[in-house]
Amino acid sequence: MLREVAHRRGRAGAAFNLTFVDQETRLVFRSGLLNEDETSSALDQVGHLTGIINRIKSDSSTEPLGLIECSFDKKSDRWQDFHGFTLSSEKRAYTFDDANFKWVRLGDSPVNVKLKSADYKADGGKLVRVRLTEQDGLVKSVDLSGDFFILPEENLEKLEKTLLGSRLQSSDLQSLINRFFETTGTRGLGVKPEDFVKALLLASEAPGQ
Amino acid sequence: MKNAWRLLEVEYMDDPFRNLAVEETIPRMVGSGRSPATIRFWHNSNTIVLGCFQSADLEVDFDACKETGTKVVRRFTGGGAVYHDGGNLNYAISLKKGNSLVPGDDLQMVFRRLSEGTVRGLRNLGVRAEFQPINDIQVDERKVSGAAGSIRWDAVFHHGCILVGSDLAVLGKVLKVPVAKLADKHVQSVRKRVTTVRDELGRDVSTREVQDAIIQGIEEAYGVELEKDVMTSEEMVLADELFRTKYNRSEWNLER
Repeated sequence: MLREVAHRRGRAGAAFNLTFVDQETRLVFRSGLLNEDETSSALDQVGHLTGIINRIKSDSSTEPLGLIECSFDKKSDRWQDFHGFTLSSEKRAYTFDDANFKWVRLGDSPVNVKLKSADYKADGGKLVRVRLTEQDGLVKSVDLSGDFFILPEENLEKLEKTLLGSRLQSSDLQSLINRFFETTGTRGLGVKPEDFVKALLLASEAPGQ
Repeated sequence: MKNAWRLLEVEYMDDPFRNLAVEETIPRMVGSGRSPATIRFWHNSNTIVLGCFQSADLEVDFDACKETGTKVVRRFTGGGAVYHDGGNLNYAISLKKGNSLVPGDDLQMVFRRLSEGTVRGLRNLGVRAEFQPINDIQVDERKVSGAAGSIRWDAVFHHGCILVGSDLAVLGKVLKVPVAKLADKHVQSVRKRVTTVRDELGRDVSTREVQDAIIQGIEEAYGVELEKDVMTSEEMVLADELFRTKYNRSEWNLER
């Protein structure tokens, strides 16, 4: 069922986002800026894809996906870059391998992985050091270290695990880390939840290797 | 009658791994009620002691360690890396949780309250020591002692090291100090941020003299009496187990 249409139109062409929603999944098509011919081809293909989306979704190798996103590639004239995200709290990310017609868990393949790092000195507090690998805007692995205090101590490792698969984006990180501190009863001295957010964002902005 | 704390002088000067195993043993036993409130004094020969959340690779200059024969061990408490040598005095206070000196769950309060005895001891010696939050004791903005601690195993634990006459040149070499850490301190190096009791008093001071002053400071500050004793056999067994399974392993000391 089509739920949302958003579009922009200008001299250079038009762009649209189409969101289809059924019981479990939101399916989002992001066209990017297209000219008239490209737009009509993209729309034709949306029709075809929504017809086969159940086959794509039901690939048995994944957990149920709550969100599937894709974008249109003008050069190859096709929708591509299908990404799926699970609804579970770990928000695992998958990418669709259309050659083999199956979902591949992100992090299982080493493409587009960037190593990033940052040191962030908390205001009036301690140093938070982040070393992470990022894949398609998501945390693939992360090491948090520094001279702060966290009680109970075991929770730093749990926080690292919670961050896996999350988007390196301010609001996502903020709500995830705040919720982690609240639900686990974690207490910091010389470091607050927002210091971890700032340190992670600083790392995400760093040039990758 | 005054409360009594056990005074332990158990140390393995050349085995920092065993020293740190004992360090974890005491609060575990005090928390479980099988050992009394305890203060331990001890030394390490040259060693870097990392905080439990620190990355060994990011903090330690391993080439300089090799050159100077410095070992690297990780403690179970947070906070920053410190350098120990024979001119550095370590103390550790383990109290059962709920002790009226440090009620509640506030680690900052623990650092403040359980630094008082040390501050008092240093002042008795003539050092103008002051507690500086979060976890330092300073003399004119230079650190002379750092503390760390935890509240766990039903115990309140606070330990600190006091630079009595340490070789600050080695300290500056073996620890990498991140630029971001110094950014707001208006000084350039770890050498300039720290001082020693010896430098403050302008004379040679033994760690024994400082220890005696701190014992007195603690007795005055908390109204307790320190009674010299030894580790229990139960503690020896646990310390040995922690040494074998944790502190003598590079998985614990170097992997983070």
